[in-house]
Amino acid sequence: MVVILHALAHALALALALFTPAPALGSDAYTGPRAAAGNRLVVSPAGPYTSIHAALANARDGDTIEVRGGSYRGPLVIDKVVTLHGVGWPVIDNGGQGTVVTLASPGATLRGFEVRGSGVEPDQDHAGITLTAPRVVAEGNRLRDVLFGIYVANAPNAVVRGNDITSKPEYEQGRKGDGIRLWYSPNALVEGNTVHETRDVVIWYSEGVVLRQNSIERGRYGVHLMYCNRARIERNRLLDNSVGIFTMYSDDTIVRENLIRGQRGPSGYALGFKDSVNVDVHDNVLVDNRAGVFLDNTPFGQGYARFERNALAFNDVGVILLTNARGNTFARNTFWENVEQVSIQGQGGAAASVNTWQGNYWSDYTGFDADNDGHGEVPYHSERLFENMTDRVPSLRALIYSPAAQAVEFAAATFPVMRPQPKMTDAAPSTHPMLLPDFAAPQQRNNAGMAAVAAALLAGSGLCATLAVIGEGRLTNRQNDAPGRAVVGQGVMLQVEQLTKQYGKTEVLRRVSFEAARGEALALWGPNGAGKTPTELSSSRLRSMRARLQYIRCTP
Amino acid sequence: MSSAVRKPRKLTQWGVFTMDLTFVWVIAWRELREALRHKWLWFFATGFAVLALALSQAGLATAGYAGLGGFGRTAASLINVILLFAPLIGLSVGAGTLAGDRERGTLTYLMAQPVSRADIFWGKALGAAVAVASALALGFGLAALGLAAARAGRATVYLSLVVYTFLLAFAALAMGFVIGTLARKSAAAIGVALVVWLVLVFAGDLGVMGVTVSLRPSPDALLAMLLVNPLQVFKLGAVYGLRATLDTLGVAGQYAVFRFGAALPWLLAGLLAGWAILCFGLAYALFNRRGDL
Repeated sequence: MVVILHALAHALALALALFTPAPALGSDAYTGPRAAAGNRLVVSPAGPYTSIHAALANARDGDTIEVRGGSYRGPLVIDKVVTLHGVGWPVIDNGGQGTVVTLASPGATLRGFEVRGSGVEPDQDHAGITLTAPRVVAEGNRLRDVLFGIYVANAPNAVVRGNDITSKPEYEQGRKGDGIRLWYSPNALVEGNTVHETRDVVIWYSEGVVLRQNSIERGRYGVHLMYCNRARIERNRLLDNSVGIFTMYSDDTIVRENLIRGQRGPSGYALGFKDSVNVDVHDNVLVDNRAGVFLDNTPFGQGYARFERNALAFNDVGVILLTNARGNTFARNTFWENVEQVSIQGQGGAAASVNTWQGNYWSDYTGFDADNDGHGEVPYHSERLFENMTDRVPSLRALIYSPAAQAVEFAAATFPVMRPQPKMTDAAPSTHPMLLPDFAAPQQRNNAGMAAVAAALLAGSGLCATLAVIGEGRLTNRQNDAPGRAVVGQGVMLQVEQLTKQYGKTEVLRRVSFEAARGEALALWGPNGAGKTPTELSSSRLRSMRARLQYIRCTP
Repeated sequence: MSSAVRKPRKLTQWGVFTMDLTFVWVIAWRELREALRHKWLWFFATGFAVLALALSQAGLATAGYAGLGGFGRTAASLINVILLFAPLIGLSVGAGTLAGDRERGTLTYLMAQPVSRADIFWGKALGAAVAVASALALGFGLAALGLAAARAGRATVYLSLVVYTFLLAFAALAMGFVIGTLARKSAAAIGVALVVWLVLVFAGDLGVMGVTVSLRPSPDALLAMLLVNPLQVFKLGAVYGLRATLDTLGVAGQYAVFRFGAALPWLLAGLLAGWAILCFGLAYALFNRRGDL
């Protein structure tokens, strides 16, 4: 019973550690002796051992070295089958030299340390932790100020779990090291790690790797997979990298239940496949990337590539198919508000029929579902003239969103002679979008800001309208009533002297003079053409008149 | 004599450019009031409001995608509506203002008053600008209300869209003032304004489209062609505000971000403001040189 409880508590703590952000990865989760057969050697600043090296020298295979707090010098090469167990975040610092910790003995474990200060030479693979033996475990560590994070080379069945990894903050992205690099390490497990602000996570030449529940943010390649058959990539979160998951020359890959959002680099694919075959991609949520899926020569050779029940929302392009991508199946996916739902790029232009589209939901579908079976009776065609033009001349994308582009689409839709070849056809599209799975559900945000903006705009608009109605009268009246504005003196309001007006050579008025007193009514009387209007207008400063005008006060 | 009898006024003088701010205010109020009394401004305002509200709600309906807050066809449609409406409102209000007053004879009457040309022009410009801004603010306000109710949208991003729209509308208004200054009849002014609108909205872009397809210009040449048109300037600014990148706009957009970096939004806003200032200045110069009748 106690054993079960203990196991449960451990699992719970581990789960907590995995699902909470990095700093909360408490070492408390790893306290307590594990079922280790050997002895327990304690290292702490107060002893009994004060250096990890000394404890390691005295340890035998199967021992556990418990390190309690403090800061220790690297480099550390663990060449015995021991478990190094950090309590209270002991630090191993190599002061900017070489690799900090190397796990070189099969089954050795490093857990609960802060590892920092590796060297900076990329060609020497300077890393925080390097795993070089089968079944080694790096678990629940914190890696800071290291070039590469965890470097797994020739370590089959290695476990990299629950680490929080970031590279050297002062370097720009290309100069940083990879958060995790796996090299010739089949069946490795990479699980529950948080990798942020590093270069790539690279998985090369390794069969049967499992990547699960990692959070990879603000890097270059979220996951770069090459020559890796039978990989399983599931329930990871990839946020704001340049590229999400890119798979090359790898067969039998499963990619499922990942959330990939905001991949915005020059390529910016959430999921990319090149020369890969037997690909199963299902239940992923791909949001706000430059492209949801990119397919180059996939499926490669004999085999399949299936994309099912994925949600592709708010990407610039939902799916990019190069013309060599033939034989893919897209079924029951939701294409939600991608600026361009499907793009076919490359020479030659593929026939619409080389890939299969079945029962996907399209947010721009305009058909209907008469028999209420959840599928539209009218096929969904992606046939947009301007999109076809941009597929052919990519720089035309500069004009998307502009009414001219809309006009081209409208013309294409209205005049059949201009209708383009359909890029694809979904014969019976779904009329119901799939529900967003829980792992992708957006957080409810407090939207007081938007409400405030709305209130401010409406208030501003209303205020202007109100002021326009009441304000003008008040302003004018105030001006009229203003003391000191009234004329002082003899009450002369207007004095016109020597007013002359000519239309061309015809003189209409010659040196007319008059004045008007306050309260006095002055009438201009005369036949047509006598010059009444110019005289009236000249009680002013119209420039086409010439007069010496003593202007005193005029209230319109 | 006049200085003896008149209380000193808030006279603002820059060289030959003399303005009495009191008169400017009075004329601006009057212009605002007249503009708001016109049915078509309300027609535009409600049309814009209904479309903006409908578009902001269209993408928010089902399946929980709204909170993802992406930038999809919905936002694109909103930009589209703004691109159609804001220049239309600005151009028609601007063209109608001075031309209409001249046609009714009220402009001559006003010029017969002891106010300077600058007072009249800038008062009218200010009043028309406030009228246009409040018409647009109504639409944006209602749409924002809808978005807030649906817990979507981000306040700062939305505000940047509003600011760019105001700038675009002011630039169009200034162009309208140029037309209105030159025209004798209000109908002619509105007609010319509609042609200009058509050129800005469709013909110019179709031209750019043709050049792009046939000549394949380099990214900087393409960007330069875009920046000539204030509508495209607005679009770059709006997309950049919503996205903080112009990747969506292909290589020309990427080049713009690469070339100008963080200064880009200021550059674009400055270009729009420049259009407004240039055209208002031109309109004033023309207005100042024109005869009274």
